[in-house]
This record gives sequence, C-alpha cells and structure tokens, in this order.
Amino acid sequence: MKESTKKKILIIEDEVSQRKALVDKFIREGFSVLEARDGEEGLRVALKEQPNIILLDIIMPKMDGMTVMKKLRQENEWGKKVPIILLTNLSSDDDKTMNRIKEDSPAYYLVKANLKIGDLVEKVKEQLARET
Amino acid sequence: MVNIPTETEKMLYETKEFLLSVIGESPVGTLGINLEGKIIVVNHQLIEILGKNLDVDELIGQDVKKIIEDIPELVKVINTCLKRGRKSFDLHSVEIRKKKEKTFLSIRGRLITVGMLIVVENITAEAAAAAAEQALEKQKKIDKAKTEFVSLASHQLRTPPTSINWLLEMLLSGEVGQLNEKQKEYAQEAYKNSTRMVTLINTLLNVSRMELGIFPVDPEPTEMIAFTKDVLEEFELQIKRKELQVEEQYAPKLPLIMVDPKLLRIVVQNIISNAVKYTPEKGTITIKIFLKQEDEVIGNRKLKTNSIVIIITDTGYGIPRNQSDKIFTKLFRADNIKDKDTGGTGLGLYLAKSIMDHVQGDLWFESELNRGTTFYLAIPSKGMEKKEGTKELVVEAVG
Repeated sequence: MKESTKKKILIIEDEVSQRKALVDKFIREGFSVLEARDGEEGLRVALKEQPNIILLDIIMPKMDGMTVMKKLRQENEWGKKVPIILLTNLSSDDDKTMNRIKEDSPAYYLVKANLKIGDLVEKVKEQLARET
Repeated sequence: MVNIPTETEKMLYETKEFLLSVIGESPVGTLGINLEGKIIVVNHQLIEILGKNLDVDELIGQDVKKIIEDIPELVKVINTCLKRGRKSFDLHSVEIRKKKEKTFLSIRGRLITVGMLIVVENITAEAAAAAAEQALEKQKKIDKAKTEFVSLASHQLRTPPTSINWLLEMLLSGEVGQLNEKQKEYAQEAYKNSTRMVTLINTLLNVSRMELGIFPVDPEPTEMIAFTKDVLEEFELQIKRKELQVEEQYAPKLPLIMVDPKLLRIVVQNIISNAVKYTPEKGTITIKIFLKQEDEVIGNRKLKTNSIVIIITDTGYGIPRNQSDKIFTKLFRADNIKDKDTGGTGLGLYLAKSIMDHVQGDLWFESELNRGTTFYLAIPSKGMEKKEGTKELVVEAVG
C-alpha cells in the first residue's frame, strides 16, 4: 500500500510495552503510524500531522489525555472532528472523569485490560469507515 | 462618714434588686466574684448546670473554688484574670462529669472594676451534634481516601497484564513469527493466567466497593427470561467445549421487574460460571425461572415475599456438607474443587451473596457431593430499591 493511501493513526501512550504492541500491530494492519510518549508530545504531533484517528491514553505524564483531548477540540476545525479513542485502565465509573470525557466527545472510551488488541483494531477500522 | 441622700439609696437598692432578678431569671448560669475570688452573686441555674448540691444563699461570700474546684481549667483562667489582669476568657467544650455522664460547657468571663462576671452554658447537645458531624466528616474523608486508593491501585495493577496480554496476543496470532506447538502451549498458558489476573483485580475492586458500601443500585424494568438467556449466551463457547446439556424451563409469561441489570448480571454470571466450571463434560445444567408466592417453600426455604425465583441446577461435583456454611465467605474454595479449577478467586459467591443482600433479595443453595448443586436466587416482585452510591461495580466480560 502506498504511504499516501494509508490511513494515519497517532498513538499517544506512555507505557512503553503497550505503545510498542499497538505501533507494531497497526503497522501490520496497513496503517501509517505516528507515536508519542506523553500528552505534550502527542498534542504537538497531532496538530502538525493531523492524523485520521487518535488513540489516546488518559493517565500520562506532562499532560493527561483529557487535557490533550480538550485542547484538540478547541484548536481548529480538524481538532473538533478528529475521532479520538480513549484508552485507559481506570474504571469507567469515576463520575468526574466521565463527565469531562462526555464534554469532549470521544468516539469510544475503552478499558485496556478488558480489551483484545484485535478488537481495538476493529474499533479503529469501524470508526474510520464511519468517517468516509 | 459620707451622708448618702435617700433617693440615691433608693435607686441603688432598686438597681440591685433589678439586677439580682435579671441574674436569677437568666437562662444561663451566672456567677459574680470580687477581686479576691469571693462569690458576690450566683444563680441556681449555675448550680444546676454544674450538678452541685449546694444552697445559693449559703455560697455568698465563699471562695469561688467551692463550686469550681473540679474544673481546673476554669480555676486557672480565673486566677490569671484576677492576678495578672487578663481582661476576658472564653472556654469552649469544657467537659465535666455530672452524675457519671459527660456534660459539655461553654464558659465566658470578663474582668470588671470590682471583680469578674462569669457566664456558663450547657452545650452538651450542640457538642454532641458537632462531634457527630466531625466524626462523619472524618469517616467520609477516610472512605474517599480508601475509594481513591482502590481505584488508583486497580489502575496500576491492570497496567502490566494489559501489556502482557497484547504482546501475547500478537505472539499467538503468528504475526511476529510462527510458534512451535510447545511454545504455543506455553504462550496460551501465560495468556490465560494474565487474563485471570485482570479478573482477579476486577473482582477485588468489586469486593472493596461492596465492603465500602459505595455502589449504587439503579433499577430499571427488566424482562428476567431475556436477561438470563443473554447472560447464558456468554458461556456458549465453554458449554460447547464441555458438551454440556442446557435445559431451560421458564414461566410462560413474567411481569417486568425493577432490577439493576448490572448488579444482577454479576450474580447470575457467577452462578452460571460455577455451574459450567464445576460440571464434568457431558453433564447437564438446568435453568428455571418462575414467579413464586410469599410463604411458598422453594429449596427448603420459605419465601418472605412474592418473588421471581431463578433456579440453576448442575450435575457437577457438589459441595461437601461440612463446608456448606462457608460457601458464601470471602476467599473460600471447597476442597473438592481446588484441584479441578486452579483459577478461582474464592470471591465470586461472596460478591453474589453480598449483592443479593444489598438489594433485599436472597441467594441460597442445596447440594449433594458428586451429584450436583442447585442455586436459588429470589428477587422480590416489587423490585430493587434505588440506592445512591459513588462507584459502580465492574461487570466482567466472559470468555
């Protein structure tokens, strides 16, 4: 597949092993993969490269995922619409977090520990299909 | 000798009488002492508040210590005022023993030109309320800290198995190279145990929230047969693998019932999971759901109220009679199944029973070793009551 036709995915995740597995998996699935190891770097890369979809961890150093998402949504037209899949190992029942999450319209909120990597790929493809 | 005019005398007398009446009728304890610490005026309210058996009139001219010697902090502060010129004081929540009961006082004093005026109030009721509120606030802070610790701990604990699982999935899928049979077997075993760790963390999180009593109950109208079938479907693969027979017997029509589907799912999942796990291959699991009346005897127990009863029977290993009373206790696993399933947490039934107790339902069983077990779940027809809470329990995906 030519680089230009590949969908671009940005993976913002501070856990090295998880980021490594995700990057490797999405390359094999035919994506053009960008990665960032903290929220600050993630925001910078996102705004510069404008990927088709973003996988975003919540608990990260320098800038947490919630702040990254908020800033993206406020930045420009692209930032308002780019599909974001939040990945976390927080339970999905922390009211404060959930209310913040809902405000910025992520495509999905997924608990990593309960998620197979193959299922995540399906969710990403599903979301991208919706966008086209 | 100074000649005081009669009218002034009269006015002074009237003023004195007026002031004595004010002091006498005051709702608070009042005490006036001179600069030598002798009692000039005292009302019976003070004597009553202090719980003393003394005559007010006999106290005039006595040393103030006669009535306050058992309140050392008051003695001390009065000395400081009289001897060192401290202008006023305010003692709050002074504790005294009155007829063996604790009493709390508020005591205020002011130095005046001829001595001191001291006012005493009984604030036991307010002190008790304040102490109770303080204790409640403290408990809330402790609970909040515990809750946050549990959430944070479970987040941290889930992180390594997430990495392990994803990397093993990539390995097992063959995407990073083909494994030989032995390597595949080991990788599968590692994956199984890592997944088991996540289940354990989720279960511990639930148990912790259960014990903190912080999970809500959000009932919604539920059709119990469809609900139970939905839960059963999660076990389809495992049932097929073990070639288990599943027989279903349901009432022709059941009314909708108000239940919290998330909570009930945890309970029904646990019971069916045990039935599947602890029934040998080619065994049978029977699921029945009926509406039963108050006082009907179901499985050696009389129903306390009209209830929808779910009955799950297996032809499995059963529960040893001498261990039956421990089956709902935390971390308990019966001797006869420990070898057969090393993956159990010993928390599933504890959690299930705790949930049913919390929602005014009931969970009990009958069992015979090597013949099988029947679990009974009774949900009152009037449904579950809504309860507030801050943290929901985690529902596991099966498989």
